Amino acid sequence: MKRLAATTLLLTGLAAGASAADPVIYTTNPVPAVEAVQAIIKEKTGLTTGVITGGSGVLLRRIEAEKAAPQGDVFWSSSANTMGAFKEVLEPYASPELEAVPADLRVAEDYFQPANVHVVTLMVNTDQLGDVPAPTDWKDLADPVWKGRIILADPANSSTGYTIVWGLSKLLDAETYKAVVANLVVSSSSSAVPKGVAMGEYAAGITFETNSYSYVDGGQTEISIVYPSSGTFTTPEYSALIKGAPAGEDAKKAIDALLSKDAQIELLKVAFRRPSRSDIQVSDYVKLPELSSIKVFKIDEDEAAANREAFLAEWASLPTAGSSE
Amino acid sequence: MGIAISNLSVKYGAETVISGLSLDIPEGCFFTLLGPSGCGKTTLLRTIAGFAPASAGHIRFSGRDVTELPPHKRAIGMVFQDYALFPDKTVADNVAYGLRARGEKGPGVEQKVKAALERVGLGHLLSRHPAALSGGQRQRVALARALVIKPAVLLMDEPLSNLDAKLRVQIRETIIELQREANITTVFVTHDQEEALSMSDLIGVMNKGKVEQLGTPQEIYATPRTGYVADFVGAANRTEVAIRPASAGLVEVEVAGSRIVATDALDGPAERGLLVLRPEDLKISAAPAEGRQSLPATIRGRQYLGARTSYSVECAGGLVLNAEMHGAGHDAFLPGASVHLGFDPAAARVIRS
Amino acid sequence: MTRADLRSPWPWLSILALALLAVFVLYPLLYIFTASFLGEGRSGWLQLVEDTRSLAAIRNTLVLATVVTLFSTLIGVPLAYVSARYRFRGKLFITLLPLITLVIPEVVTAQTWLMILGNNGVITRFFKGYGIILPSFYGWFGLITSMSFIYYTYVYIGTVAAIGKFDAQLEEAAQSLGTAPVRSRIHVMLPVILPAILASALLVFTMVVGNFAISMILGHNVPLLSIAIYQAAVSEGVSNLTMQSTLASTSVLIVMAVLFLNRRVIARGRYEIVQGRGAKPQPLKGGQGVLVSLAAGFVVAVSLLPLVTIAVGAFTVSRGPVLRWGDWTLDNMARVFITAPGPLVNSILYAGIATFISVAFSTMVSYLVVKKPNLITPLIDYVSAVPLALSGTVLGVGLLASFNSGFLALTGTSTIIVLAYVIRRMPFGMRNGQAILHNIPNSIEEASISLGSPPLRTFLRVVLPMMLPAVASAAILTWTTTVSELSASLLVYSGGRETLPIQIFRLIDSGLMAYASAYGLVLVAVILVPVVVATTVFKVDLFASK
Repeated sequence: MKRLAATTLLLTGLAAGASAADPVIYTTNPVPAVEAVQAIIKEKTGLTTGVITGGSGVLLRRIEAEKAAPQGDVFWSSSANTMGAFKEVLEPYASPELEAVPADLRVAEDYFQPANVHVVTLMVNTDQLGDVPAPTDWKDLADPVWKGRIILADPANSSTGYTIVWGLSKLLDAETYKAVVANLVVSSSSSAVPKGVAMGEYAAGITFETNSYSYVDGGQTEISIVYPSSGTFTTPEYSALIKGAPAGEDAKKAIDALLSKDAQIELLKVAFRRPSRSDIQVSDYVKLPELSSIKVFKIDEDEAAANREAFLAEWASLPTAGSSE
Repeated sequence: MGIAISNLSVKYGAETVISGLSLDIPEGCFFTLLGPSGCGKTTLLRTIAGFAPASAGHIRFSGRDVTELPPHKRAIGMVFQDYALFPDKTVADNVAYGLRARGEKGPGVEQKVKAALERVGLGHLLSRHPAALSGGQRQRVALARALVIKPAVLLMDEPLSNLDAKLRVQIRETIIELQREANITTVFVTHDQEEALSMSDLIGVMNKGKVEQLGTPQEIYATPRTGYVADFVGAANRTEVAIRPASAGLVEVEVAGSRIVATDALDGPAERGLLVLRPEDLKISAAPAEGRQSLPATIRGRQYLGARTSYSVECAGGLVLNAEMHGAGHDAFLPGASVHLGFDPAAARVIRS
Repeated sequence: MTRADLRSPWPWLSILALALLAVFVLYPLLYIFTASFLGEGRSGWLQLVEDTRSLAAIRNTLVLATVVTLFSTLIGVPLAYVSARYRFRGKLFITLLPLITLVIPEVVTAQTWLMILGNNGVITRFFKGYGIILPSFYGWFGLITSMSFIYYTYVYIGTVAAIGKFDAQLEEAAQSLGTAPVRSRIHVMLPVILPAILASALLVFTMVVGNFAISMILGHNVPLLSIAIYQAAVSEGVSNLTMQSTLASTSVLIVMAVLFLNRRVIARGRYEIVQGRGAKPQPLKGGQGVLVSLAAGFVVAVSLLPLVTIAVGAFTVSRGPVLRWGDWTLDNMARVFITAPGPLVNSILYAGIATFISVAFSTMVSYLVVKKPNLITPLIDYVSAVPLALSGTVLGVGLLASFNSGFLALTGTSTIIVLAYVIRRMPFGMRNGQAILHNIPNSIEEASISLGSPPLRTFLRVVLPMMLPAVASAAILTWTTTVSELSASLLVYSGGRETLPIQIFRLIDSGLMAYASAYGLVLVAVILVPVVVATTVFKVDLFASK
């Protein structure tokens, strides 16, 4: 028994020790995106990076738990609101690459570095529309014919879902807002939204363009992406340097590489992440419109974060099509 | 090596199975513990082996106290009711097991194993597995396995009870031969009186955790000291009687309305006792036999058993006795016949009830 | 205990076993229980009674478990009956059923059901063509259907075993007394096999309560307990230790109540199951035979469908989440073995170590419990059964919370994954070990000791070799179940330590079905290869001790 335990510990030690000197990235991003970025970092800096994946909550809490002896170097990526609560275990870093990022995306002290911008889209499966005309704006979804045919991630446990519903409540008048909400089916898993639409389970889903576009790019011709005409919502995502990063300067080099033009282009091509840099022409690489051509409805992230509990309580009282009650 | 047990008590949880038992088994003796199930005989054997811990008292092998010694250090050989052969090992490996446990190696082991198995007539089955052996063969292997290590004490727990009648007699003989040959002190547990009587030098009849009577087979059978022993060893008619002392060694008792003389085995004076009459000591005759005391009786039933006939006979006052007749004409009496039951004073023993 | 007892190794090993169980089983459980009362802020139980969503989750879980148990029994018992008593075409496939449930990851099963009965599923579209609208597969309909078609196998296995043991002479006796065959079966056989059916039905109930993968994929907006626990543990916002502990405690209490009931049922029924001469299966011919073959074949085909799906998906060209059916490629498989072999290596390594530890520990401990009882062995027996009451999610939450820091910080190591595997399987290993040991008479061991072999050597040289065939079958069953374990490891794993099921779950979650299928197919192979090798080459009877 004892010898066995020792062997187990040894194996554990080996697994952990293999990449001790290299920067370790704690990331919420999907496999293809991570692999693309690792390749760029390797190419630019010669550094081999270790990767730990998980949900942003799990990873940030882990960074907090490890603050006495940090195991990770870089966190990539989440919204500023989510990361805001963990500022004390993160460290500001004004990467030289931030020169290329528009000022309105940057945060105070460069505590976090804008890595990419998410745009909320309506993902539509035209095969499932039937006689219903394709929606062009949010208010189209208020029609009762949409009841039970639109899927959305549960705002209570998805920050994407929360951003969307908060934005809708500000953008639409109260009556239309309630009518839209009444048609929604809420999913506890945010990844079920694009999948549900792609599989034809739902005629429409409200999701980031990175998700909806992956099906368009895959060649699923019945999938179309709608940027609502009255405006949609954007959320920048940020990377950050972990305080006391064991890789030291290499951690900063990794962030520089992450923010570099090459990395952002690669991310755009592989994972359809809209770059935070202003020096990349999106349509050169993918069939997505430039951000400047999309009407964006600005939402106050701080206000959204501050009113979270009250808003969710109100949300819970609204009937939805997919309510289990 | 003799075994001396003094003041031994064994408990299972709160239940006392053996209390204050003392016993001496001389060196080289074939000693049998005889009794019904639950009498404590197996527990006593397991305590001697060391598998059941003693809660008080001592066990000594040739004077050496082994009470606290773990079983594997007691130099015992043990044979079990279910043979307890190792099913995954061959016959040879089973027998070699104890030798190897003693650190013996090499060709010496093989020779001893072969010799031991040949001795029990199984020299040709060395590489068989136990599953491919008959019951009798298995018990012979178990015997060879226990004896090959030359134990100081051989312990056998009902080793014959899983065998059929014919085999039982055969293996009985094998066991006795081997025991005499090795002159090894042996404790044999059985509930079968025939086994006990035929094999033992000494028998301890056990009852409720105590040795009720200790003696040679002849003593146990012919002169039982308690009703329990009389009944358990052989069959016995028993009836409660009032006692009046007669001449030396004899008493006068009243049974079925008649006064008869019986042997005094009371172990001291008493007013009442138990009259014990073995069925084979009762002689049935049509008329009272000359010079022999007898009781008038009526045949109530009979069972013809070939070599003998067993009769159920009713005496005056409703006392029913069992009588067995041997020899020519043993089946001559028919139910309803009026007869006389004769017996010698020596065959009628009065013991403490 | 006498002085002689203390000189033997057993009391010390018992103490060691109890200490290990106390640290790795009792401590996490107590941690959860205490956290539910004394967490941050108000007691979790006070919060719970006011939280309508959590209450709904508990209610839904109970309803779902009841309904699935009912359906599983309705499918499993008749199937067991026909396969135990009759011979018909395709019966061989039905005997493969237990293996099918063992090898197909639940995530894959759930996904496949969506392809068939989802809003855009094959059958749904077929009916839509005739104007019949089927209810949405997400939620109750899907949960009940997919779980019933997975869990009926447990009822099936339990019932087949009971019918096999049922003494056909009892039935003949009833018929000889003038009862008609059908009546005699219902009157004589049913009461005898009922405890076994109830026991396996209750097992299904607990499995539904603990189910994670299917609930996660098909549950959608039906709040369920295991999902609520998982989300409380990994939510993006602030961690809610109190709430996750309270919900986990609720799950433990539900399962414990069911297990208690189970014990009562089994205790009551034990004397009734008398080993007897089983009936010889009768051939079914003509229309009846065709009908039974078709019905049984349908059930098996439905169970097999996910396997076909992943086998095809694993070799299908994909771009992102979109599969190009009909275009074939080896790229997905290349990914599993060459580009990203981590999950495969991790799975084999962790499950291998866990299987070894689990089998060694449960063999040793069952030996103590059965053959060397002392004052603490009954305690060991009870504590080692505790994991039965912990669903994977609950165990994951418990391990994560209690070994996050402090005297034994295991979070983020592979040890905690192995630990989760070992703990989840331990009760089964113990049950198996004890069953084997009860079949080995004490006299064998005493024979060895009487021949001068010390106790430990006796265990190693005599008892262990005799246990070996059954231990081998236990090892294989442990392997198959640990390799496919998801719900506990999903909570305790850390980056770089993904196992095959975790990787599959993540890939399905990202919509990358082709990659997921490739990993899924490899997982099935990893599970099946040892099973096939053991049963054909080494002739191990997998269900030797059941």
